[in-house]
Amino acid sequence: MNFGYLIFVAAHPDIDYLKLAYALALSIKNTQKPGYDKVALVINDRSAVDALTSPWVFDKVIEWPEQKFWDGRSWMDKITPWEHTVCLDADMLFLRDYSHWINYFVENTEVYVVNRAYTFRGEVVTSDAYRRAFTKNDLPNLYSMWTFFKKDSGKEFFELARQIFINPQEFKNLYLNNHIPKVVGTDEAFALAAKLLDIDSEIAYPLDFPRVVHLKPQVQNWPWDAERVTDQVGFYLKGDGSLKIGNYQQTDIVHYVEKDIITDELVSMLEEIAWKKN
Amino acid sequence: MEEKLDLAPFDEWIKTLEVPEETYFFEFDLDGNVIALHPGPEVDHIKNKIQVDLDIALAIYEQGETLRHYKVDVTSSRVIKVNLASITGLTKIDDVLHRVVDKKWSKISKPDVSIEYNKADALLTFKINPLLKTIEWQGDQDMVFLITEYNDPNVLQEMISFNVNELVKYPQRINIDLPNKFSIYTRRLFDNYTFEYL
Repeated sequence: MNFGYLIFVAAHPDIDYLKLAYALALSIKNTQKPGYDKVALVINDRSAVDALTSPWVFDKVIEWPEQKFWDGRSWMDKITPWEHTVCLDADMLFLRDYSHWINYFVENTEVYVVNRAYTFRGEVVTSDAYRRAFTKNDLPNLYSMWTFFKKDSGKEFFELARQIFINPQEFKNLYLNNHIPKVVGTDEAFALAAKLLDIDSEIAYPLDFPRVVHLKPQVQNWPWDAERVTDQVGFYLKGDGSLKIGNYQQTDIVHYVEKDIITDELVSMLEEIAWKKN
Repeated sequence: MEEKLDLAPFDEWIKTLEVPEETYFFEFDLDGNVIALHPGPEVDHIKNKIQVDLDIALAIYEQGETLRHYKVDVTSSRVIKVNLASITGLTKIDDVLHRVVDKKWSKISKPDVSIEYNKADALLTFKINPLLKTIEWQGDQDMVFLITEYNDPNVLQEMISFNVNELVKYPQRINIDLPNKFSIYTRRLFDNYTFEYL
């Protein structure tokens, strides 16, 4: 089976997205079975990858300077080198083997977009604190942070999502006028494309997996406002690659959101595990 | 008849204009407590004064710091920043359960509190920055250090506590046998702590 993960990064003045992608790739290598641990990186300047201590964690590096920041994700279907792909956000960590999830999607679906997120305590996120445009405009609750697709599948969906992404003003005025989002990102573009094509029940039907913990502060079901999750609870990655948030052991994929969580020390811990394993 | 003034042309005047340097001074009492911040031209009549960096003045004027955040060491004539929790408040998890960073991963060159562990002698040593020694700490300021499993404060191995005034008087040396990897967490009374494994 030709399966791999796909991560997009690009230069940013304040955030080292390559470092985040590197930590994610290390965590994939540390936890996934052979055959399920391939990672392709899309970056605007591939020379930066060579400066990493272990650039081998990226099985393929694709130089693609056409889009800035992570906006390139809207081109994931065109760029992927894999037959079966899961496109991830860079600011995530893998904590155990999730290859059985991949087997399900390879056998049963063409395209699947995560439509449920979890708090660090394992509760389903119900708050729409960051998703008013979704609830007010009756959009399916898609998260592009974990998107599975087979090569040459979902062409209409990806093409429409790209058009929405390229022409946000037109689509906002036509279809998102109950609550106009400031930015039409990949999440909004995917959700609107799925709604317009009436395929949300095909690409985002309810499943108990994949489980992704979304560490946005206002959706953690705390009875107070929070600016940062790490103001409220600690983030404790141990030498064996296991993670506790507060006193909750994490086993699902963690989308940590706060980029400064990935310190040099944390990267060195992940590297050490990878070196021992490989 | 209109009188013609003999003024230098503007371009020449602006070249010769000297803008005075922006300076600020703390006024302090005999114990070194800061009682006022004055702009430079207003301080001629003040007896106990010391010039402060522009950054400090701006931190007070624009960034919410107060005069209580600073003290003057009268003997050495130095301005010292005070970071006691009684002033800043403990509101974040990193304040109540602050992980002391290993020196090799830190950019902190002059920590307020430095901790060293000598494995051969099984000796854990706590030292305070000498610049902070001249301060008299008000009230009960217990320093509590949790020795835990590496990067996991949920697994407590040892707890060490002493008063900040004890640390000001002498470095605190504790004989304790610790594993090769552990972490230290503390209630954050100061801004910067570092740890070094010798």
